[in-house]
Amino acid sequence: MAHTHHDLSQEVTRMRPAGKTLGLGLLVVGIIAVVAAFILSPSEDGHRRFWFAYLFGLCAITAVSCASLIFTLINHLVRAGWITNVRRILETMALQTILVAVLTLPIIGITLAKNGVIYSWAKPSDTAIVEGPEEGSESHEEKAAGEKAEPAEKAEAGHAEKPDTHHGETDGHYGGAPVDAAPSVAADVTYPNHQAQPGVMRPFDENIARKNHTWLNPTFWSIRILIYVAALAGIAFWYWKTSVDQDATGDMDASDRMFGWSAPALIVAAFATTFIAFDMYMALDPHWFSTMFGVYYFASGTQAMWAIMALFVLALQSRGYLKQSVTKEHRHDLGKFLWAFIFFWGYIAFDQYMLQWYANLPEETFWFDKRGYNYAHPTGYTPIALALLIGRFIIPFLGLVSRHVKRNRFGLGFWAVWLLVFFILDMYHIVIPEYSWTPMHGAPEILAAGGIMALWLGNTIRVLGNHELRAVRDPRVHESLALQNF
Amino acid sequence: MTTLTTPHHGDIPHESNTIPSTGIDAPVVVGLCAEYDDVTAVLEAAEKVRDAGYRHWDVYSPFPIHGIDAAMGIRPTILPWLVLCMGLTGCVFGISMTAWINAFAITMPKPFDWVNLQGYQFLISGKPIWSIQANIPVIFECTVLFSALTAVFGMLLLNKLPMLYNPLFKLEMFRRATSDRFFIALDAGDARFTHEGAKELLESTGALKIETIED
Repeated sequence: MAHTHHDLSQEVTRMRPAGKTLGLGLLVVGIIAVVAAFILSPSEDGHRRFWFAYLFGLCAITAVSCASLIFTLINHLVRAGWITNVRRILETMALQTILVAVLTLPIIGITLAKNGVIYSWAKPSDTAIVEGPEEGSESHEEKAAGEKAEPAEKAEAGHAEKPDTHHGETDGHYGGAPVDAAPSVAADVTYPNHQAQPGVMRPFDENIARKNHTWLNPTFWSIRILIYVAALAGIAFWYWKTSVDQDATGDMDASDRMFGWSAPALIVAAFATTFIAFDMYMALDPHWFSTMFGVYYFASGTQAMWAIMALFVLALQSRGYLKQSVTKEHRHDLGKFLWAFIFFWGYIAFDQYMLQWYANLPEETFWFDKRGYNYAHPTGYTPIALALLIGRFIIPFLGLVSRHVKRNRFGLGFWAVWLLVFFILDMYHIVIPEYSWTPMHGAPEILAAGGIMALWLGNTIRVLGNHELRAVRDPRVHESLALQNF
Repeated sequence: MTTLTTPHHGDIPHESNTIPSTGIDAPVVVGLCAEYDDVTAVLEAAEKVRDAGYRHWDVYSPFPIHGIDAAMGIRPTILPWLVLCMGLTGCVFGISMTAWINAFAITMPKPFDWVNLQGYQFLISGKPIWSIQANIPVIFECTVLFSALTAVFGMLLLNKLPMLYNPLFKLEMFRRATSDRFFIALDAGDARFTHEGAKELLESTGALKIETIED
């Protein structure tokens, strides 16, 4: 009931040791899994498969951590009262940007090594044409050239003879092949070659490397990435620290300081997140550019963030924590945000696709081609693209629309788990198609990506366990408790 | 929230017809109004009125009160279902409209060949005449438009708004309903309403003042 102050002194807000043990266990499991994935992945191309699997996991935890930080800041900026009692979970998730920064260092190292293991453009110009896994590069180029030449001849021949087709259909000159089948465009679409030889550059990659590209060159790129992760981790740490310190001091000014810095910090965090998406994940295909990709990445991560928040609240409450301060109303609000971001993600994902579909520029549509969005040329990723549309947008949109589902523990938990699965699938479909045109889901992917997610989860639980589970002395605790949904 | 209904002239006691007409309509009792000075008091009073079984009554407050829905026993609104239905209608409308305008063509047989049902079949960027990708924005906006208009106007109609006149405005004390006082008004149209019974009920809730609403 509103306007009445509850006694929260009996509430359990410190995690029992078992929780911290779980966190540490997950950390150990995560490290072992990542190391195992490295050992299990083929080494002849510099563990390229492992690094893409690693990047897949990193992509997921970066999205969630950055989204958590952005929403921590937004909640301070708008002085949101309702979230106060669950804000510590959000702050701790945002704090994992430190883990993200640490796990990004190997990627920076590989890019600075200029061997093109992850980013094809990072290879120096004089050796721009990559050798394939064995030594097939030259032969591949020749093969591709040969394939190009042959249809071109056919096309020429066909063109010359074209008037005849109207008169004599029994000519037999074309061997049954339709005239339209041989335009030069077809030669560019060398799907099978890409499939067979991951890491083979397209001519444009070579140009980027040759020109010592202003934006995509290893040195400048590494400096930028360091700035992004340092900024994110710094902001996240300051907010987390200020909030945790307030638990001890009860200092009201801390709330004002967090509010005061939230606007500039939000600008920095939003830019850093957007440019991490651009530089680390959009740059996997240097041909492709989408100004919406940063928003897409944010939307995707934010949706997963609300799902994880809801699951944390449900898990903590089922173990007896935060039983009084967090109510059905808070879970309802988490469900509302989760549902809103189902639509937001769908909206952004469709917009990004539709604009590039409409413009139909080869360097843009190629990204969607690889991921099987083109129903005329399905790839191994087509089922994933369809699963994202149906399973991450249409079904959960209808499933979570009702307030009764959001206010029900099982309903909220079910859809949170469901959406997390599709979030991981989304991250997979951002990263892995850049490694191979056939879906890769063997031990390296499962162990590396799963290991990184376990590291993230383990560290979040560990840090949560070391401090109060909610901001116990925040001045808005009772405002949060008075939350009512209509 | 429910609102006080307009006077029920059909409910006027039979005797009132015998009063000699003065040319001006004699005031009719349309309800009782009670004044409270804090939120807790009005919430508790609302619970009492709800438990007494009244249906036609309302609470007036300068600001929204958390928990008033439960205290008044207001049932969930049907508005979400109206919005859902109209949203789906808008979606179907959007699909039909874009398909009709862009891709529709009928040639009628003679002698009706003067009927020319032909859409604007523009070929744009080599795209199909009608495609789901190009038309999703239109379909989406139609869905949103239908839903939003239903939500706004449905809310107004379900609240019987706009209501330009309310006999409560005649009460001097009711002026403070927009600044610092809370009111409960029982409608004489309610099946349980009797002047004495209603007055007794409101007195038992600890009202500061009870006045008769006349119209």
